[in-house]
Amino acid sequence: MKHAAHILRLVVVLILVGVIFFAVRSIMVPEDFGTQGSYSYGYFRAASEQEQKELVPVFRGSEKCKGCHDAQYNTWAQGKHYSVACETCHGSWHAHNNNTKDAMIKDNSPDACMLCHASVAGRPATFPQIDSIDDHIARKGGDPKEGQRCSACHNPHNPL
Amino acid sequence: MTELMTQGFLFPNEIEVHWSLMIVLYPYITGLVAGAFIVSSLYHVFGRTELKPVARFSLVAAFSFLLFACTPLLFHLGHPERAFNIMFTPKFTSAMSGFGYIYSFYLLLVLCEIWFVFRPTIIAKAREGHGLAKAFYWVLALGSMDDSAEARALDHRVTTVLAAIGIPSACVLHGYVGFLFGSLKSNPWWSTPLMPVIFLMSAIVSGIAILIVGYFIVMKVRGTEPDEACLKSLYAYLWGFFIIDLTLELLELLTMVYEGEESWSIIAWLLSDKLWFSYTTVQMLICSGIPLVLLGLVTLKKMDPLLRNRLGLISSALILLQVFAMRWNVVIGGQLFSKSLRGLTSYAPSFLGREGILMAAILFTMPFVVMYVFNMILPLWHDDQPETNQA
Amino acid sequence: MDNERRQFLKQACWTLLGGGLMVSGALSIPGRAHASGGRQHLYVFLVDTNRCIGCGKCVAACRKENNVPQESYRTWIERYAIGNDGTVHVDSPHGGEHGFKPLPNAADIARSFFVPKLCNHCKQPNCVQVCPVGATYVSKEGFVLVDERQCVGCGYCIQACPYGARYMHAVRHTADKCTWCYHRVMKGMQPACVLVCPVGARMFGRIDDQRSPLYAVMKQEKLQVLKPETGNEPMVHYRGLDKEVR
Repeated sequence: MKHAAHILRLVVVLILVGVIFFAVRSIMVPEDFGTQGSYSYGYFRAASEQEQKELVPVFRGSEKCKGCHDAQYNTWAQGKHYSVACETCHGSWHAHNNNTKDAMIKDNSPDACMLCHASVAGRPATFPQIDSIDDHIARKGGDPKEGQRCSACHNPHNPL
Repeated sequence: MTELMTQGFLFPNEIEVHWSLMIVLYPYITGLVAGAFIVSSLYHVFGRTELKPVARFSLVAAFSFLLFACTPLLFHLGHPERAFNIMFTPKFTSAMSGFGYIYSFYLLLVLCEIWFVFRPTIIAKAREGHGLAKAFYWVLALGSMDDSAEARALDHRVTTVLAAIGIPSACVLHGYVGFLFGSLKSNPWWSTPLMPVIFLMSAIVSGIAILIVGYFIVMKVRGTEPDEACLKSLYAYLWGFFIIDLTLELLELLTMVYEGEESWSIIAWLLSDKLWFSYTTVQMLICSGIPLVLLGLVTLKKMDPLLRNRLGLISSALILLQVFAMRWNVVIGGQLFSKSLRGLTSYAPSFLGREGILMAAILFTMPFVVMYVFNMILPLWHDDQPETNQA
Repeated sequence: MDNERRQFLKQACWTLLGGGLMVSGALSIPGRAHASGGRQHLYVFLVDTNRCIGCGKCVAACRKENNVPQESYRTWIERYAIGNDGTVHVDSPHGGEHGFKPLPNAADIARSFFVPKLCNHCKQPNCVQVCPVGATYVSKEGFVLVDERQCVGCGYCIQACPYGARYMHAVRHTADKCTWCYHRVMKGMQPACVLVCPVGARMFGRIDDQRSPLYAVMKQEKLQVLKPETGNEPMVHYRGLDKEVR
């Protein structure tokens, strides 16, 4: 083995590479990594769960609107649109409160209504929908030329 | 714009192809590594002495390609600065997680084998040299100047062992790339247990082919006659491995056609539309049919060396193209159809940019630059250096 | 018994696959004995395809709630129109975010319906299986999440998802997808898409919560999941799913 000295040196170099790698690794890997049980599904940085929990919700639900918009709230709560949340049409609570009061969407154009109520292939037959606003107005005895809006007859907060 | 690119229906997140030209290049380069290494092992382990003229060349070629095998990945990653996560926090339920360790292990192994093979040369250079050059070679030799017959005999034994370990490692390195695709149940064009074997066979084929082409170019530049016995042997190996490779590729397709599962209709559409050129025409007809026949002739028929080498060279070049097309058709092809099995999207690499054609060309050229530099430091060709008893 | 054998087979495969790589022994791999590791999968998302009207409010709300980049979708709506001759037309313009236009040849359509899609938060998610760096995982509550600070952006999970639910975040350059609004649910709120859905086509809750509207549906209705053959055990359940939906 007298002539194996060079091999020994190589082995030392390789061991050194290994040691440096694992030293760096132990510094780089966060301590909470892989502490969540199952290797298949729990091998991750545990703090990530908490970070995601802390994200701020943008939509807050209709109850949030109650205090300032009691009148509209009460009309809505008794009507056929009760299944439609305030934020579905008016945009998120967060945008309304973090910016200006104008950030609340108040769109009662026919397009806003027709997004849901236009007769479009794919909609369940039981869902109230119309082919065209003009025909609808004519059928109800109105004059389409007067350019009426849906809200002339239907209160968006409580239609029909 | 997206409407023009797509046909039928795709899930809205599928319109963009995520794995780009870089991911085509990566298995291509890795394949060249595995193939070149197998050739060097045929000499070092299996005693195919006729391959001696390319033994060193193939080993260094494997090393040079290996150095750049992971660069396409770095150019593709969304966060290349986190690349080491794959070694710091590898999750072994993922086929991909093995990459860091397999790659590093293999790189060290090839480096060690090169060191043992070139040690007599390094020592000789250290003795001849002066000043800085002397110091450089002395460090390369790790300060050990023992080139006695006993030490060389020992090196020879170690080299054989390393080469022997290297064969399964090369297979793992590339088989794993195939497994990475073959194990994805979400993709009917990838998901087949044949995938790792096909990748391995095509890797060996492409490695042999690039050695043949490289050997010719180097011999031409150096003005030396190439070794006929060596080339004949390489042609025979190329032919043999290519037959296996192509058989497996056809078997995969045949099974898909015959089973005719739900996914077949979209794959048939893919092969007759988006992949008509790159798969059907290039990979399966031109670049497979011609080399198959030519290499058969080269191997089985007695012919003039000039003609033989011409046919061999054409076949090797076509096979290099075939394997590249295969990588393209797997990687890109697998992303061109929707997992809803209802539509196709398109992909064309940009010329410039991080994942463009120019970058791919640069990355692919780099291994050859490394070989050139390597040859300046340690000569690759036997007539440049004192004959040694082992390499 | 059967389950034990399955566990054993699974373990044996992993041992073979990973064993060679882990010889170093320096990698700290905690208890792999139990595949789920105490994870509960009690939350269920229920989609009623009989109710969806394709208004796209859910897609728009999701984008706002989660800051989803344009051209990427955490949730989307598909429309299926099956012709009298059996041909299937599927569309999802901008993921249905701005609603749907009438189809030209309405008379030729035998049946048509909308199908909202989102991440299925599978019990056996193969996106988590294929993530090489442990950047995507299953939370204690059974939500499949992505750690944007750990993700290297390789895109393997995007390839692995059978549902096309994942995308590369154009700003963060990491994989991203629906979280079932984990941040909201953990605060006791409903996911944003569920909140804004005007017709109750989306329901969310715990299967053991008797007050949840989902509870009654789960008890009474016949439900289906997407691509059950993957073995992923998706946790988004569909009511009235048509055979043409993939």
